[in-house]
Order: sequence, then C-alpha cells, then structure tokens
Amino acid sequence: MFIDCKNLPDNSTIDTDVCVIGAGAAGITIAREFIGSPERVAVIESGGFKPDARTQALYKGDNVGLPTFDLEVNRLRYFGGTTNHWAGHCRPLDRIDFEVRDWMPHSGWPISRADLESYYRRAQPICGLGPYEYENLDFWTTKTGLPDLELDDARLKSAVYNQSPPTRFGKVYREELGKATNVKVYLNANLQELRTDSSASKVTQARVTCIDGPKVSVSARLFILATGGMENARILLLSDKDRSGGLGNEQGLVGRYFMDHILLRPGEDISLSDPKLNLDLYHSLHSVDGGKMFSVLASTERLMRKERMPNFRIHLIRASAQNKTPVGKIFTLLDELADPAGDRPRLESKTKRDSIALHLVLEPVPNPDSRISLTDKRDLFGQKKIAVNWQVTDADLAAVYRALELAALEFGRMGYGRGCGVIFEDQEHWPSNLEAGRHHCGTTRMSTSPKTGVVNRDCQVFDVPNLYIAGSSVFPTIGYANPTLTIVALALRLADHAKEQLR
Amino acid sequence: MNGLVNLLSRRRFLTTLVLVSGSVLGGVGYQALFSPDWRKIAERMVTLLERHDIARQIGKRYVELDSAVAHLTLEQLTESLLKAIKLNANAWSDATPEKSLVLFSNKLREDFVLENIVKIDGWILSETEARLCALLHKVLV
Repeated sequence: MFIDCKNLPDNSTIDTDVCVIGAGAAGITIAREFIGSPERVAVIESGGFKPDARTQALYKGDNVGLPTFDLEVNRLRYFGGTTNHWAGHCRPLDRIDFEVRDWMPHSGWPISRADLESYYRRAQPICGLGPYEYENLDFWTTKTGLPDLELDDARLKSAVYNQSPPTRFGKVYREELGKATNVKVYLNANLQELRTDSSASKVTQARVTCIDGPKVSVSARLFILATGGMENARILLLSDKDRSGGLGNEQGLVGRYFMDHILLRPGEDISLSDPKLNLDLYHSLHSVDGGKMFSVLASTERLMRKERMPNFRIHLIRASAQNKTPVGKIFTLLDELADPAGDRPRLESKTKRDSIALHLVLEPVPNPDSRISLTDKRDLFGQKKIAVNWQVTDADLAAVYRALELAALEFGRMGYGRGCGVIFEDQEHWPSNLEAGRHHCGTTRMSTSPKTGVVNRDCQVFDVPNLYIAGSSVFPTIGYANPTLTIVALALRLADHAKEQLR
Repeated sequence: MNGLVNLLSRRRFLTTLVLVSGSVLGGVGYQALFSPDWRKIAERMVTLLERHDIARQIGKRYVELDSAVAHLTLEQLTESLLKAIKLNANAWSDATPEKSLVLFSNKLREDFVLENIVKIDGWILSETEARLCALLHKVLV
C-alpha cells in the first residue's frame, strides 16, 4: 500500500513493527520479504514515483577530496532509488574479497562468501538475471559458441558478468508492494533523525518531515536504514541528540573508510596484431537462457596472493569503427607464424577493429582518511549537509600501474598485440582521467568489533540492538564487482535475521 | 602529463611496423658465413622489419632512453640478438626465413612471460623487438 505522507495529519505517529528507511534496491528487497508476514512494515521514502527537483536537492553536498562526485546526480532520491538509473552490471564478490588479506590494511569481512552464497542465488532473479553460473566460464562459452582468451592464470582470468535489464526496482516491484496489506510505503517522507530511549540504547522513533507538509514520527520495534552508501552515514551522524557524535559512532568510525571503485577509462590501449581476433565474448552482451552476460579480464587469486594485489577487472572496449588509422600491426607475421595450426580464435567479426581500449576497475585499499563528514551548510530542513573527501593512496596507484602492465604482458604473450598507456610514461602520478565508479561504500563498515566497525555480522549497529543498516555502506572491502547484487543478497539476509528477531 | 592526443600520435608512430613476408626475406640470399660479417648479419636481420621508417623511430627512441643499448656496437647488438634466439652466426645463415621468424616470435613471447620488456613513450614492448628496432637504427646511421 502506498501512502503520500503529505496527506497525514501534522504530528501524527505511524506505529509499526519494522521501519525501513529508503526504498532503493535494499529497502524494497527487505519490504518484499515481509509481504504476507505477520509483521507490519512501514517504508519511509523521501521521494515520490517521479524525480522532484527540491527532493533531489536534499542530496547536495561538497566535494573536498578528489573532484569526481556530483552528489546530486550520482544518487536518485525517489521510489526505486538509484536503481532508477543503474547500469545493471552484476556479479557476486569473490571468495577472497571476504578474507583478511594481510597485505591489505583493514580488510576482512566477519562473514564469508559461503555465508552469502544462498542469498546471492536468491538475489539473482530479483535483479532480473539469468543462470547463476559466475564461476563456470565453460557454461557460457559453450552456450554462446564464443572463444575465451587463453590467459595465464598466474596473472589474469576471464570472469563472468551478468547484465540486469537493468531492473528498475521502483517500477518492477511497485504493483506488488501496492497490493501488500501489511507493508505500507510512505512517499515524500524525509527522515530527519533517529531518536533513542533515555539510555540511548534503543531507537524508539524516526522523525520524518514532508516538504511543504506535515511532520510525523514513526515508532517501531526495529529500524533498518537503507538510504545509500553516503546517506546512511549522514543519518547516523545527524542522530546526535541522545548520543554525542551520532548513533554507532563511539569510535568515530561513522563516515570513515569511504570507498569507491577506481576507474581509468581507458587505462590503456591495446593495438591488436590481428583485426580478426574474436573478442566478442568480452565486447558484446550475449543472451543465454533468459539472461544476458559478458566477460571481463580479472585478477586471479594466485596473482593477488603472490603480488599482494587488490582485486581488479578490465573491460575490453571495442575501438571506434570510425577510427581510420589502423594501429598496432606490430610483428603480426611473427604472431601468425607462431600459430601455424591457426587454432587460436580468429573468427571474422562484424566490425573490423585494430585496437581495443582497456577500462580498469580497481578495488581501493580501505582508508580511514577517505570519509564523509557533516558540514555547517544546511538543507531546506535545516539539517547539516555532507562533505565527501574521497582519497586514494600510493598503494592504489601502484596497483593500477601493475594491473595495466599485466594486461599488456598478457596480450604480448598471447601474440595478440601491444599495450600503450599514459601511466607507463609516468607511474608517479595519477592519470588525468581518474574517475570513481559511483559505488559509495564503507561508511558504516561491518566488523567483528565496535572498535573496528559500525555494524556487526548481522548488520546491526553495535550497541543499538534494534537498529540495522542495509546497503553498500556496510562493505568493509569492495572487490571489483559492482555492488548491487551484494546489496540485495545482504538485504535478503538481513530480512531473514529481522524476522527471527521479531518472532 | 601527456593527453590522448599525444597517445594517438604515438599510435600512428607504431602503426605500420610489420614484418616482411618470407618471400622478401628469401630474396636476400643465404650463404654460409665462415667468419661473421656482423654488418651483413645485421642487415639481413633487420629485413624482418618491413616499415623501416617506423621501426627506426622506435629504435632511435630506445637508444635515446637506454644508454646501455646506445653504447652497444652494431656487432655487440647483433650478437646479442642472435644469442637471444640461441643461434650462432653460421646457424643464422642457414636458417630459413620461416625458422628465423618463429625463433624471434618465440623469443618475444618469452620476453612477455619473463617480463623482459621495455617502455618506450608509453608502449610496452618486448626487449627483443625493441633491440631489433635499435639495430635497424644503428644499421642506417
């Protein structure tokens, strides 16, 4: 059921069992899990069914670090959240992403990939994806009939990505939520802060305000913050009436360890020796058994452990067909002569190309100095806005350099071409095309201890037993995979846990 | 920091560097060398490179960037390339064009496996192919 909060009486109270704040991928997933259950659920969504300029402007903030974020544009503040414009690239995090990696400071989740495996499988159809076969490349090469590159697994591998339509959660699940009798979605309802009992050990109330409308409060047994990788931290920091510094912030960790994927598009160009080299598995989307997939190059566990590298992936992007300058015919005949049987993949492709661009996506090293904090600037409700200080480190730069070097080595080894990149001329400085992946993570990180994290393995805020966090803000490390599938998997897990707690 | 424009210009710089076909190599003629004539060997070796204008630019740049290569004589550089493909001067003179190409091809692969590489203006090349280009530069100087 949908309710416009503007139509509620001023100073009214919504009484419910579960209060989910935010209706994006995480919030909608949790709400759907409660449909038909005995519990009453109230979903508090800032926006309506369409974008609204004044509501969207509530996301305004400052960039005080690397100037790569447009805070008002990256995120969408209406029903469906940022899934209203996500690209739909999906893949689970790798097993190693969850491990404590002694070469990566602050790494290690309190849960493993195995703990999430069943939830990933449940998340797959929710995101509109096909077969759950991420670890089985042969499945896809057999189905598509396309060759993969014969990579050295001491360096790189071909990794499978699934492509969501992309599922717009607000559109796809609107009807289902609209029919639910025990789930009420309150639109145009802007959370201002969470209030606790006198001992500040339990959240008792969410204070909500409409633009040009009433103020209401929500009382619930259990609260789940699902407002995104930046806003989750902001809400905790703003909720400082009963706890100095905000909820869950005894160690000053809320907002710290802000992470995003490090992007270089391109990081490198590969001049191909053979324009007929078949890279369609990597270049194009392929429909298989009701889903779509493509492949990327990715680091292997062997590489990461041996060279103490973070995780990364590399997209192979087709060069422009308009490029009339043929490139990279270096030693073509040598390459061909070394393959006298001609059994390497050299199928004719629809588009002739002589070069490919390598787009690098790198996992950053968690960094406490990379952070979100409150400023003295105020939004239209008088609430403090955020400043984002995204920082990358020398370790990240070294990893970028090595990842791109490895790609060039592999294309050279396979006899397929030569790599060229600006970074190979100057490895001391970041290339000017450094970007962030717009995957905001880490600001309420999951940990085994309140000394090192904000939430525990169940996504519960330490010392606040009825307050939970959903979304990428709980990721302690982020691998190279896009976060949405993991966000949905964690949301499913959290919903299961919440039901247990309520019964 | 160089931008994409410079990157593209460097691409053109490498655009047409290709190896000649076996028939061209075959036209050079093969005679057993009883005492190595290093210039002659070098001149035959660089016929592997078809576009001498491009390859020479690479070679010139490599010599500018690497003083060790710059100080090698033509004889030393030629001999080092023969050693790289595990041939002596006589064996080289007996090798067919196809065999020469395969030997160099295998060496290039090995360079990328062992990371015997050089970086020239943003390009990652095998050390052997860069030395071939440097040899051409020295032959033409």
